[in-house]
Amino acid sequence: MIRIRRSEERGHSEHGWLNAHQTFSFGNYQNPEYMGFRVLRVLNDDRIAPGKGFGPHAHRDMEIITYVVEGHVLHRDSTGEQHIVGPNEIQTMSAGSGIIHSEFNASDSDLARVLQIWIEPASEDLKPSYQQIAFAPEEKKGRLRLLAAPEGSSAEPLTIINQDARFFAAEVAPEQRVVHSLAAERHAWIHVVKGHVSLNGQSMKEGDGAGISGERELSVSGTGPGGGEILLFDLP
Amino acid sequence: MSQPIVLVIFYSRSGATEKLALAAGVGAVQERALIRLRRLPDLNPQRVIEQFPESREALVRMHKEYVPPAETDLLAADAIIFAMPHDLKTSEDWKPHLDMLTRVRAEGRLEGKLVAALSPGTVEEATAQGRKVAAMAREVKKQN
Repeated sequence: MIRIRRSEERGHSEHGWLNAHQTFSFGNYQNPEYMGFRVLRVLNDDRIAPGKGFGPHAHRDMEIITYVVEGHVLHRDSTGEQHIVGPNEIQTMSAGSGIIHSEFNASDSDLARVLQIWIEPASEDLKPSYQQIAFAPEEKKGRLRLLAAPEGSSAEPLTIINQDARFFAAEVAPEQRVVHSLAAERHAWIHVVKGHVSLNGQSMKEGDGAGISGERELSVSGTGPGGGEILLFDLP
Repeated sequence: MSQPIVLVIFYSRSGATEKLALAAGVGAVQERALIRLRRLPDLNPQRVIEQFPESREALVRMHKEYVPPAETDLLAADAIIFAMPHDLKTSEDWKPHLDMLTRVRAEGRLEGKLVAALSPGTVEEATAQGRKVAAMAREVKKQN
């Protein structure tokens, strides 16, 4: 079964410095039907004004992945890490027993568009940690590039998460196709970052999401004039 | 039972006391409290930066990242931790915030809240203090 969650049905908040869309319940947006999907708890699409951002705040027991679509964000945290994250990089923070961090648009002139992803960890009270990797843009063109997974999942550089979940990104040009096999009892969420795609024959556009259960093969092809970019989560 | 809320109010110029305030906050989070971090403001940020050029980078960053404590923060908190550099004199800049604190207290609206001052020490000690305050706040909340 594939259940599409349309972009316009998501939560939306506009704070002047922050224009955010929430696929799942978050903050003031609460929708009992969309409290998350399996262990995927949050998927926010945040547009942060130049020089603005989230002041220091705490997290606990959550695997937090930052995927930057446009611009750059400056991350600082209580473990002493301070890094700038941009497109074709992935940042994974394991909040574990407790971490405080801030995230600001690193530019005083350009907008930053960031996808914030929270995955529930397999166990609580882990030691907080921070990872960041960069990859070449070609690595996600026409293929699913694995970016976050449990230890030992791939020879390619990736960030390790404390959950039996796999997070991929892919860009598909028009008529180009990526295929993902879903093992029995596994589920998937697909989020369209940009453009247009077709998922097993169903049209999806920027901001749309799809919760997938009971399917064994997922086929995503680029449609429209420029194809699209997707995130795929393979979930327990 | 809902999680206790720990408000950490601090002042820092170089970032050293900020580090301790963050550590106390982490300790509270380890004890499964919700936290709010607030910095007492410099009403004339530029003047402070000119006065302490060696702390320029930290000051510019903290002016951007933190908001000052508001009345709603005080009222929501189950515990308040103050973190101040031990050799710091009271600043005129804090008067509106200290007046607010005095007024809220006079109105009896701080009753039942724990208040702690972070003693100077290491990051580990600050974390341990934050943990202790949050654990006590949970106990007090349970009894109320």
